Amino acid sequence: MIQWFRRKLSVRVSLWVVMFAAVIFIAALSFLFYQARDAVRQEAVSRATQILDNTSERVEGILNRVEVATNMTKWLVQRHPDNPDSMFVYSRGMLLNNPDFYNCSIAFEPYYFKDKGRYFSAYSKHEGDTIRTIQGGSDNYQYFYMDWYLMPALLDHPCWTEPYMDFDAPTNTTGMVASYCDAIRDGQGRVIGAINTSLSLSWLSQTVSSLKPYPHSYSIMISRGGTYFVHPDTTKITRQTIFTQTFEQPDTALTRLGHAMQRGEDGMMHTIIGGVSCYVFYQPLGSTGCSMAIVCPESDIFSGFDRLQRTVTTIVAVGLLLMLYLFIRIITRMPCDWSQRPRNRAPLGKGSGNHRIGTVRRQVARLPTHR
Amino acid sequence: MFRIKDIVLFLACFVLTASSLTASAQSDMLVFTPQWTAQAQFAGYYVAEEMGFYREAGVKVRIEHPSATMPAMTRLRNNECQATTMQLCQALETVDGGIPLVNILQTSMNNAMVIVSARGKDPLTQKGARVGIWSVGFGQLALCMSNREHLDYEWVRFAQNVNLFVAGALDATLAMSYNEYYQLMQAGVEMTEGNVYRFCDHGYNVQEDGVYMTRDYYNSHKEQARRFAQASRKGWEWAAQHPEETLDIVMRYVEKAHIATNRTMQRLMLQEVLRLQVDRESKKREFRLRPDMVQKASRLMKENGMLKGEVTYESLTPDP
Repeated sequence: MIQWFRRKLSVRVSLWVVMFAAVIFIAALSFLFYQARDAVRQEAVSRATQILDNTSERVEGILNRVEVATNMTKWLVQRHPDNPDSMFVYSRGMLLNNPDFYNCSIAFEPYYFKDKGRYFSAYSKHEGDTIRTIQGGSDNYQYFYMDWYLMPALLDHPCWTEPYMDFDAPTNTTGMVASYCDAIRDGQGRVIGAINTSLSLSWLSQTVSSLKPYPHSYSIMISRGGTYFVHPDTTKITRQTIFTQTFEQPDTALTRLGHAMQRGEDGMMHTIIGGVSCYVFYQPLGSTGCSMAIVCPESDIFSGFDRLQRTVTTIVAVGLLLMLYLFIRIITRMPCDWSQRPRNRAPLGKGSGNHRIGTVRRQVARLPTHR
Repeated sequence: MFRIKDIVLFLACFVLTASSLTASAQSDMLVFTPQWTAQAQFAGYYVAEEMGFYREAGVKVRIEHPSATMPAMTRLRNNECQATTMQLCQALETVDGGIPLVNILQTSMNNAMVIVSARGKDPLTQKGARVGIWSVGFGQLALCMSNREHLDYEWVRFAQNVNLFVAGALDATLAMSYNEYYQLMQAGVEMTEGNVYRFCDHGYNVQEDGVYMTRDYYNSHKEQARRFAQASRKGWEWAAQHPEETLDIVMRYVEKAHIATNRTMQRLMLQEVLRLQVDRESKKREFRLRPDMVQKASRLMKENGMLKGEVTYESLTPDP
């Protein structure tokens, strides 16, 4: 076969031409694909970032309402801290003016109102079409040891608690909520209680879960402590953290991602999640301490690009093969036309040129081959 | 004169009252309240219930968990339960407070308490630090250690979980090596030799969990107590031999109680609890209260003003 290639000038010439063309095509296409792939990646980053920004803005708008309403109510309480009955009005009023809030409690230090006993918490909660307002706190629920009561006093600023599942015994239902809380202080700056407004996160969960820039992408949200409260696998919500699965299967990439999200960073990470190569775009959610991320499988992002790449590569390969075949045919045919002329056994290069040239094939075969 | 109808009525009332009193005294329904919400820490008791060990022993048991802010001892005191688990130090405090208790089964042979410090610092170097401690009463040894080492910790009582620490509201927090320790790891907190202080490694290896009854109840229900303790021990021994099946049982209990946890966390907890049941010296699962540990805990607490007088080992045993 090789000898045949060596003897066949047409094949050799054609191969050289096609190979040269192939090298140029490969170089040009490689550069094009590299730039195009990068452009696609940038487009994905831009798309995901825009989605995250829009969602973050929408969510923060709602969270901001909770913060403003709580601050206003706190201001009222601090202006009239000695009238316990007013606390029920304030807590109920919070829910009347904001029907989408989950509950509100205004709680005080033990025995702050001496005639009310050790526990005093004006607690209001939506129950269907009505608002239930009660005095909360008991030996079974010592609110002054709860996160929402302690955190703002310890941190010396208002804050959001970790999301948690609130179990409502009367209706036997659970709902995921997070609470915005702030310390109530007297005129001397001493902490006398705390106000806490809770927001159901079901809507947030649905909103974030619906973020799907690509067919197989999904969204997650984690709290300050890394706990999932949005995840396509609902069994993980509030039960697992982003680090839980690394206990049994160490995963430095996932650990890095978790820590980055906990630190409130935004960015993009290329990693492998669940055996699938993914791009993860993440962003913090305001002052909540939470962070959300969109996980996009690499195959989704580059599916169009990969399809184009395969098509172009196929076209170029077929084109080059066709070119090779045509070149061989053309070069081979050219001596066939000469063989039609009268034979002349005289060597080429001598004579007046008026003699008809013999069979070129045999004469060409006598020509020295140059390598 | 009394009519026959009055006499019959009086006799009927007398018989009914006597019957109900007798039935109450001899009732074999025992309400058992573990000291915390449902989790693998109480796996042996769940196993004993699910595998029928209590039934085989002829004891009817109902397991009722307390809330995170309501000590189990309060339920015992209010007669809402007849047996509870508690740590040895808590039992000493209770006895010293005037409520005689009997230890009918000791499960823990080692101390599980640790202090985890934020920012990688050594807890012993954080004088005046804000340290989280459970509101329901665990942590007596930590108070003793803090006094002895002159650390002047500012104790912040919390109900449950590690959120205060993770939010940066505390400089350090008490944790149990089978529970909050792993919660902190799950929250991404790095644990090193430098930021974790283990009480068991610093001369405070005092036993913890045991099952207790009030002495009055024990004296009138000795046979019931013995059977309950025996079946519970059998539950723990079975759990040690069948950890995965035990986890299945535990997960059913935590799901029923709506506890936000996961199987990985419960597996780690079970492994650690079973490890703590093995005595460091004998290397065996002994299920007994050690007199030397009672003496050590009692002395430490008395020295630090937590007990009026030393509580003896004999005062906790079934038949002193």
